[in-house]
Amino acid sequence: MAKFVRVIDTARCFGCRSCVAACAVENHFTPESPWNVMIEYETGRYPHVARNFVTMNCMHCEHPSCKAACDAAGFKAISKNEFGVVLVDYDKCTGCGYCATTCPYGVPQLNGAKVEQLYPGTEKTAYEQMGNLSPLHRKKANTVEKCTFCWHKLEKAVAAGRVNEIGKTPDFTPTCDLVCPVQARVFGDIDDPNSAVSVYIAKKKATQIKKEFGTEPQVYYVLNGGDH
Amino acid sequence: MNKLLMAIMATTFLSASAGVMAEDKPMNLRKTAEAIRAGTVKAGKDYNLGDEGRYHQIHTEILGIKCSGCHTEDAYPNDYLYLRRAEFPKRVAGEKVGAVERAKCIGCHSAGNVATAFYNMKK
Repeated sequence: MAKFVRVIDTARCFGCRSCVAACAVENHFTPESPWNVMIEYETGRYPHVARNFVTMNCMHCEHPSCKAACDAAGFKAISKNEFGVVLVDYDKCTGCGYCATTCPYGVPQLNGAKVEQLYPGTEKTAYEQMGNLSPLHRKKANTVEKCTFCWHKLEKAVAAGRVNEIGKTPDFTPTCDLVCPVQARVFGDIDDPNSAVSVYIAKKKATQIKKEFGTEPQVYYVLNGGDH
Repeated sequence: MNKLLMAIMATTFLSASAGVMAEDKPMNLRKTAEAIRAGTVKAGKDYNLGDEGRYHQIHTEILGIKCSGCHTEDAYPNDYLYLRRAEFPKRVAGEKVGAVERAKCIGCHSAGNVATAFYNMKK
């Protein structure tokens, strides 16, 4: 069975935020509930300073603390499928926020009392377009939203028996990973030792961040100056 | 013995942090946590993050952790990798809410420790 991971190379990333914009368009961005964020900070002391750019989205952990919290609260709205993708069922989510408090990476976004669209007045909200959208985009107010590894694209590959094309064919690859102008993002099957992600992780010594929490994230980073 | 040691460490961590615990609150965290899970200690059934919700009732009223035990005064450090970092500090019901560094949760909420396990769980 394939297990999908992402590798983000912070040594290549220069902070253009194409991935952030791509995610917002692909997933009908809910204002103030971003699924992909660029964190930018400075290191060093003048005149020897450097700028670091680190994008973050859901880590789709092997042992997701968000799922543990949701299960403990009794709602069981978070699941992890056979390909490692962690998803929120908006119909079961009550917006309690427990997942948001336990996630070491700050991923789950409580979307507030009203789901606003990105361009008010120019198009229907995702909720209003319910009949045309993937269930992952039928957003409900007062629930939690987060990156889905564009599961609405990946599941089409699974349904078509084309799992081996995930991360390679654009229609079956998360949109944020497609648009990077410097190829700082790679997506694929870590169970395939010859996949781009497996080779990247090995050759560039990509690692996971915040390992002390033991959630075993499925997003790896090539760090630019040390472990976080 | 390992679980007992973890419980002692969690208790020590919380109580050693200056001003973290209210002085009149229970120090036997394991028994308190078990009582909360068993329902013999009432924490309410409002699952939300408000002051009166179950989350804060457990951590502040029952366990006696002060606000400063979890919340800092302000924003996250510039190099702290946390997707929701831009939210903090924020105002909730007129009160300023500072950031919470999640490492404070590990001591109690790792598998085998006193509280419900969210971290370091193995298959």
